[in-house]
Amino acid sequence: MADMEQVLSRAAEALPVPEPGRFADAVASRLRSPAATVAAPRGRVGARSVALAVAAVLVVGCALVGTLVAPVRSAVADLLGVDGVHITRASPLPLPTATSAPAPLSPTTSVAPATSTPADAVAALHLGTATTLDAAAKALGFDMRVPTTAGYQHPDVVLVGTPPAGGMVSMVYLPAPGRTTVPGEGVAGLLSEFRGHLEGGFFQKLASAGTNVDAVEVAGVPGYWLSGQPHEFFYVAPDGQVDTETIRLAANTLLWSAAGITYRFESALPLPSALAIAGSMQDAGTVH
Amino acid sequence: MDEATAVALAQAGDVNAYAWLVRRHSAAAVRLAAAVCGSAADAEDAAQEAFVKMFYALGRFRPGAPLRPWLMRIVANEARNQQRSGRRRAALATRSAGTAARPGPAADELVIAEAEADAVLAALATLGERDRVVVAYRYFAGLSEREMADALGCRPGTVKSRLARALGRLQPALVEQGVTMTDG
Repeated sequence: MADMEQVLSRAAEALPVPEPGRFADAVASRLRSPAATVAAPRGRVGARSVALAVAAVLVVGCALVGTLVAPVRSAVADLLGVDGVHITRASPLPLPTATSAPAPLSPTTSVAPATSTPADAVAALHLGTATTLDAAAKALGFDMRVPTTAGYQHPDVVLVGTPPAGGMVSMVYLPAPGRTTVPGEGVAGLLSEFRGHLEGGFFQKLASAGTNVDAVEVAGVPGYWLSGQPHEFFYVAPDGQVDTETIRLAANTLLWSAAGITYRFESALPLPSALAIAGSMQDAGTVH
Repeated sequence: MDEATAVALAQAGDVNAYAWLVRRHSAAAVRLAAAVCGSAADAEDAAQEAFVKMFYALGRFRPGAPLRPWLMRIVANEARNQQRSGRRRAALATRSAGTAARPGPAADELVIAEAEADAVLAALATLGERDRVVVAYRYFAGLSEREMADALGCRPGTVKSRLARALGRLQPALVEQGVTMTDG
């Protein structure tokens, strides 16, 4: 392999890299822009639910047109025992679509639909290898929880993949009667579970223009309802460090964590329906 | 200023101290991003986005923990998100030399090196994410095996075998892309 290692090292050296000073200045200027300011954790503000409209600004790259404008500032919500929600601006996040060159499912997958459409829709989400809930629980070392709401007890496809480092189980709900299909995605819902927790004084969210964040209560614990656009969010991994994860669907997302596991439910459903589904969740072992 | 001091200052909100850290790690971050997202042209955007996010996450960074693996993991995540999104899937061309600082070999050597780097990125793009990230951490971010273990969240003993497997899968892809190797 020695020669291959040389090839790789040479390729790395040959890649264009920005002048470090210019690059650092670009980062720093984004951090100093008013729109990028992150609200410091603050005391409770008392509102029960605060919708944080995020207008945004973008600066970065060539693909982004122009710059914006409205200062995005997070007045943060401090509800339900959460110290603060930090909102920062970010580039508009890409919309994953089932039609944009979906990657093939892994050869080990057990998904073999009659038509390619559902498999393409699932594969485009890059969620890992298809498996079962039992196998996923063994692989990840924690019990999956699944909704008991009618229509959502049985995900159509269960996948396990990384990142996050410790692995994530994803349950895909395909379009079916009684489910609301997410426009353009070819799926009706996505429930993901992974080790990590959302932290009060820290929960950081990077939103694109027009995104709303509501602090909500999910089955007795603090959660967040992100609507409007796909998002990225930070969570605290089991090793105590901060990591990022990306919302996969162009949909509404309910995020919460309990007992060291972070849950994410993405769907086209309105908040009350999503809360009802989340609130119905029980250990998979007791449901199946 | 040493790194621990810069981290402490940045955690307190000092953007200048953070910029100092960014300068130190920018080249490795951009190379890593290129290898992970498959596009040298998009790598700078991905790395910049990652550094902006990291500033906000830094407050939660555990003092004394190794910084580089943590930084690189977030860069890889951002680059992976870009790659996954497919929004720039078409771009496999490297950015023209005009905007980037390069070491100074002769022009023809530069062209050859660029062409090879393009071919390597194209070969890496055929790998699965796990393999691609392992190779990228080692050869593009320059992480040690120990740092790779931190970044990958695996045991140090696992790194070597994961890297070997990834390289084994990369080799035919490099050949396919016309990259010549004298052995191996």
